[in-house]
Amino acid sequence: MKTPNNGPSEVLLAAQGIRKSYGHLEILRGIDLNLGTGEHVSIIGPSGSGKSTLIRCLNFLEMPDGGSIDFGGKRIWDEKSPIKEADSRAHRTKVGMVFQSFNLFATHTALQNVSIAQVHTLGRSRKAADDRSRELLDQVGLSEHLDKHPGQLSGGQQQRVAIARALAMDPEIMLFDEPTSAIDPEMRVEVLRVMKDLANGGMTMISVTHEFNFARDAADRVLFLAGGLIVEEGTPDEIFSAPKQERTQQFVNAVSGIV
Amino acid sequence: MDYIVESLTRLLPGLLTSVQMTVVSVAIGMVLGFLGGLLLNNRHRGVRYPVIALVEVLRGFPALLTLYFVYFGLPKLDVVLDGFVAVVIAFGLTVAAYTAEIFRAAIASVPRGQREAALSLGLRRNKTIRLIVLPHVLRVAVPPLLGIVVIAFQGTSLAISIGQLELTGVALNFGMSTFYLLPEILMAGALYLIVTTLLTWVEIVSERRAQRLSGGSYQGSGRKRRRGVPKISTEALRTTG
Ligand SMILES: Nc1ncnc2c1ncn2[C@@H]1O[C@H](COP(=O)(O)OP(=O)(O)O)[C@@H](O)[C@H]1O
Ligand SMILES: [Mg+2]
Repeated sequence: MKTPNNGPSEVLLAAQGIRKSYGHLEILRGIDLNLGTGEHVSIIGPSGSGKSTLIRCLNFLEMPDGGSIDFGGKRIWDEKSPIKEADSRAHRTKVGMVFQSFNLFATHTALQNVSIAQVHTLGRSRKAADDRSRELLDQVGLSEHLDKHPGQLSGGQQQRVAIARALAMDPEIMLFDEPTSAIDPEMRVEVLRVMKDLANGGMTMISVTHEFNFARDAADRVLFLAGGLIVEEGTPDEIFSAPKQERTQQFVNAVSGIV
Repeated sequence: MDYIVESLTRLLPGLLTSVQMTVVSVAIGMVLGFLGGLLLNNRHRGVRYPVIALVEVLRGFPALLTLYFVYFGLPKLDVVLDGFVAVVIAFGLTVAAYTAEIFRAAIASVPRGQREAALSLGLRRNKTIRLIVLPHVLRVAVPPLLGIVVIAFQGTSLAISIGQLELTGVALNFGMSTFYLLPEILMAGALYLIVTTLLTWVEIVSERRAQRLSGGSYQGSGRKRRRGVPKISTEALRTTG
């Protein structure tokens, strides 16, 4: 288990009854997800169950069809009041997103990747932005690679640049969508270490992951998502060692290689 | 030796005309081609299809026919053009047709994930295009565009057919009226060769730079990276929003 938070904290993010369909296909069928400040929730579930769709709804890369989202105690979206472009942009600067496929800007160096939105979204000076970027890239163990382009970096290194890029916006919450799934197994450990440090340092996080050991060590709570619904929710111990639902048990066993 | 110097003083102004024709027609062609590339990426068929038709017609027409059409055809509509202007308009249109496809593919090759990353960082749309999309497009498009420049440069020799004398024209004109046709052709050929070799060399260097974008250990989100430039008729039809 990660270092627990002290006492009950205020709710930072509250998503209620989130629904989303693509055409006739209902992907999310009413998801409730509350997250306290400093809390880390891991989401597990079979491929295609809607994990990516859910966290993409939380920063409006996808628009939910139904439900409501509160952030920092304020209603920022519900099905009756669509969000304005400027408001969704403002929201996204508070939400750091890390993608499965890194999505670094290929024409830019590692340093530029981390600095670009600091300058062009937050309005920091180039110097202040670069200083902050160097600090963050050092923190994720990449101070040797500031001037390399994404194509010259390994998957694990690219993902750490992507994490630094998201952190550079000083987000209030970080979303990780299977951050290690596209990385060779032996290169994952560095990325997971960075994420663990973040969680233990009190960052509010949601991580979609198949790394059960990581979720055990670093999550406060685990959600099992299947068929567009949250099937079960509990502490890492409850979910991984003593799941109540048979569906959860089957999934956990299958991923852990126990038949 | 005297002949070479004398020939060069005759041919170099012709080469200059060739270069001018190339630069102006390529400039016209790339601006139109970039617009065409944007339109070919439009999500609406009603926008894409007419552009596709126009591009196919211009690519189907031999450049010589387009030139004749502009130079001899337009005066019938009371548009009379200077020879040089007719050449750069005709070749500009042909270049536009070929580069539209290059730009279309280059614009489409910017991975969607990079736009999403830009969105998630709160970057505005215009900044995303300027800071993320455009550098990518230029890097990807420059090598094939240089290939078009080489072809356009050699294509300017067609201008002789409407009496515009550039490098080929000057060489043939002199060679045919003297006993020096063969050496004059060789001299002109050598000049063409020097210019195209230079361009090809730049093309190879820029190609290497472009490959770095997709090279190394980059792992896309399962989507296939495009190799080269796909043909218009299949790919552009498929673009959907
Ligand atoms: N843009 C889209 N259009 C249509 N279907 C989609 C789209 N995005 C995802 N889906 C479908 O939604 C389902 C859930 O996808 P996703 O949220 O990516 O699942 P997960 O991340 O849990 O693997 C899948 O069946 C997927 O094919
Ligand atoms: Mg997913």
